[in-house]
Amino acid sequence: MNGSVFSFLFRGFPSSRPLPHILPALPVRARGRWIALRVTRPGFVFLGMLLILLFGSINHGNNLGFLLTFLLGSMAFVSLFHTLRNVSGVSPAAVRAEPVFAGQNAVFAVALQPVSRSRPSLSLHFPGGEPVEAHLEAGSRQTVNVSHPAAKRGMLTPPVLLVSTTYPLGLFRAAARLPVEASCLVYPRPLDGPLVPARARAEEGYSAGENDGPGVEDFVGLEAYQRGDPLQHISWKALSRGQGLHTKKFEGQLGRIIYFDPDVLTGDDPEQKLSRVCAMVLKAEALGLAYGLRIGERLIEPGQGGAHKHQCLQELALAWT
Amino acid sequence: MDVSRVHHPDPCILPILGAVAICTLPHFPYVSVWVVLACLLIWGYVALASLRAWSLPSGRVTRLLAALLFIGAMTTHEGFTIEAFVALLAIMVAMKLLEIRSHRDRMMTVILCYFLVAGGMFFGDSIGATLYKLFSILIITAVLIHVNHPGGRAAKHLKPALVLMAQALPLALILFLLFPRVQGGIWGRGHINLARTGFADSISFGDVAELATSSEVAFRVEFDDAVPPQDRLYWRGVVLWGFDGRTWTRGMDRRGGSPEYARVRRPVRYTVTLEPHNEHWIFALDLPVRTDLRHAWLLSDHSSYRWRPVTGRIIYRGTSDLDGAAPDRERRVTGPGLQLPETGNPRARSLAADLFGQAGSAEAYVQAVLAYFRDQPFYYTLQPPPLRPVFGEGSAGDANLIDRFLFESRRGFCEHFAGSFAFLMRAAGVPARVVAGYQGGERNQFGGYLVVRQSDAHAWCEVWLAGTGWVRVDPTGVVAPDRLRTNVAGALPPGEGAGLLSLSRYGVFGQWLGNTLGMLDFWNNRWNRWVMGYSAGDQQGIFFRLGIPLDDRSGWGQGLLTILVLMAAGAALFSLLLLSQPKPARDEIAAAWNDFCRKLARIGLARRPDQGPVDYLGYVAGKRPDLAPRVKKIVAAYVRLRYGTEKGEEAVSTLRRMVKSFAPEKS
Repeated sequence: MNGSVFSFLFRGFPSSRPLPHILPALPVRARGRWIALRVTRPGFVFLGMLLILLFGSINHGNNLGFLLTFLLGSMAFVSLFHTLRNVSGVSPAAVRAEPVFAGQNAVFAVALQPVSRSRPSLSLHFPGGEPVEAHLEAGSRQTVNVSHPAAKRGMLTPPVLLVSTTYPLGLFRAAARLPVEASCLVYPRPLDGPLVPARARAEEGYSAGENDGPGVEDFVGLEAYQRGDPLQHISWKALSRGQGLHTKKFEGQLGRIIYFDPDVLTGDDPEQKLSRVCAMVLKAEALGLAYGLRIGERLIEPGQGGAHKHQCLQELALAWT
Repeated sequence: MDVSRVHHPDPCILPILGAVAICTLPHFPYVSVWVVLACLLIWGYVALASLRAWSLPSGRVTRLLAALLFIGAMTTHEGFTIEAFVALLAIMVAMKLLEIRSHRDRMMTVILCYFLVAGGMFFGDSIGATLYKLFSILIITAVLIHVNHPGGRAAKHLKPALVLMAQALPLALILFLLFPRVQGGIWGRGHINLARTGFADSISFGDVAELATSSEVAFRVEFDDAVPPQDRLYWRGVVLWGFDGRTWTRGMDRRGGSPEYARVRRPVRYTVTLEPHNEHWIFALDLPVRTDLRHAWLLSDHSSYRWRPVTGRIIYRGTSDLDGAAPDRERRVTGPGLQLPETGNPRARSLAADLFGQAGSAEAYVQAVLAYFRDQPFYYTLQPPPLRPVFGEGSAGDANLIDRFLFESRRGFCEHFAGSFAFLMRAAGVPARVVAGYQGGERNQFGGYLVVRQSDAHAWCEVWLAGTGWVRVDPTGVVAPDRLRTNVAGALPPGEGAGLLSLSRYGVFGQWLGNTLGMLDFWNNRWNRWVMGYSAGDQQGIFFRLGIPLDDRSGWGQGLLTILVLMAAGAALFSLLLLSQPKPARDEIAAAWNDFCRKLARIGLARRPDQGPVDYLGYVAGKRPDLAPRVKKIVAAYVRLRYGTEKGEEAVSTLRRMVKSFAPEKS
């Protein structure tokens, strides 16, 4: 691999906000990957100082001045390669992210390939996201949580992961653009409000029944706990008596079926309606109700539990797209 | 306690403080006491503030303090000298410590430390000073790494800093050798007003004695042949013509025109490494015939004058004639050579008239005055009693300094004897002048060269005799013969001159110390000559030996180009060396598997990304039952190697062989 070929091509480096935009970055091809190289602000100060020292040494014919100037200059030059080496070869092995609600930060767990040399002081960030510091030890597998603000619902797919470093002297910053194929599901931002179910009667269609909310159900008795039973309905009293796990059963809990439908809500903003429904799903799940969802033509049969909640929220996240 | 008011000290502050102290300390002898105190106080405060979690002063307070310190530093130094510049820099760095709040502040402070180290290039470039500067750079670099990558102790960054320096050093040395040197400055030299000891262009009583208490090196001389005898080593500096009753000066008469020579009988050739003294003259062995230094001329009074003051160390060749008298034209001599104040020193004038009347000729008169100095109780001392006028005596006392010396105190250093002698000569109508320079020198036992120190400062007299020219007369040699045979310390009365290098007084330890100092001076001299004195001439020599002539005009363009090409080649080579890394070991198993999948993909059975090896096997077997047995064997081998416990070169090569021979054909 001709990993040491300098390529003096200037190429734009969009959306790399944390890097100072003083000069266009100089991309260097190292180990088959484009690495952008920039002089940092202190780096410019340092180079300015070198220039002053060089002029001073020439003007006064001071050989000690020459020696110190060239030593400092060479150290900066050598540090440039240390900086490049520090990012070259860093690449993600796997990336995954748990779904989040809009407005939160999506956290991508980036598992990095083990590296042959230790890489101190790496900074990982997505364009527009906060940088995260990482220190890779040689040969170890390490996972770094890189966050990205999830502004709106849907699939959040960052185009590229930027790995940058200023190691060792902080005079240069080398940044590698690493392609990542990872996306994070972003649920709508929950918007609190009254629970507005649209009761589904197969033929009737919907009737907005604000009064048909789930009233207080009657307690029927205890049943042995089964996986998936809502946590809120576990009889802690029975548990504390040493009778094992039991679930309280309420009349009407299975009999009533609630559907949520953004279309039955009042208001103009469809996003706001989705947010309302999102909050309703969360509330219904918390209350241990069985609920279904209808968005336009798509219908999700009523159900309960984490998987069902996720299915509904996913439907909301990706609705109308 | 209000939590928000608790000061969180900067985590990097102590290492930065250490770097600042290390690079500022060597400058303390050169900056004013005031600046030293300010620095120490600020450092102390910063250290305590960080340990005790005190809060740092607000922006307004620091600005006010900075303004005060700035004014203080400027007023305690004379004008914009290098010392003032370094003092300001030291103050600036110290103040920066007080306002470190962000990463940028930290970086700026550390970078200023580098600047402070480099500022020391004007103060001393001996081997020791250079090593200390390299040590400072190492520490500063470690701190710079620490600032960028905090966490852990700063000391652990010493190793990467050392590695960085070691890698940079060869490149720095190549640049040092190849970077074109220009003789003289390009942009006009800023005035460096470093306080240096040396001769001014005038001498009053007491000046040379004061200079002679310093043991600083004035210059070093390497003779091509044997070192001439000690009492012939008169180092001619500035020639003083004018006398106003108090001070000898160079006078305003023109000294243009070339000096005149008798035939050179015994030329002595030597190389002088002159330490900077901020004046225009350069020193040469009496009587100088020529000095090879650009922009320097031998004046008609045989003093050598350089166009620019000597603000940096210079090296030049010289040729002298030890036996030469300096012929001069009579009309050039009689005017300035006989000038005296109208009045004053009546006793000296009458003494001159008496002695000249008895002697009859100029030659005999010179001998008579020397005899007067020898026979009367004159004393050679570094601490002559002051001859300044006593208050109330009026200007008459000021005008009669020579009288006071010749007839009252009779205790003086060389300038007293030389000045009085010249006065007596002129008073009798014999042209005379005072020459200031150095006499003698100490031979280094390791290098064989001569070290001339400020303590060897001397003044003597020259008398013009018709037919012969200017003849050197040294009345000090009559009063204190040891001065010429040994050195000042040897000629002084016991108890005086303890500050001078008279180590022989301290027995074995003194001898050992003397040897060590001699060895150090020997290495420093080499360092000065060959490293710090590396010049355009040396560079031309190196390139000439490499077959690249740089000295002619057309050669310079080629030479510069060559230098640039060499530099670029060096840089490229260096980058290649640095960027080439050991390739990671090839994953043979994965490669074999990929080959296998590619072969199947070619017949339309591509593996979907979500298919594991076993799923893939099922898929392929379903589509092409005829391939199933072979595929199954390969997949099984792969799974065993990748996910199972099987290991070893043997199994891998078996897999590779199976994949290689696997050639599915399209159905």
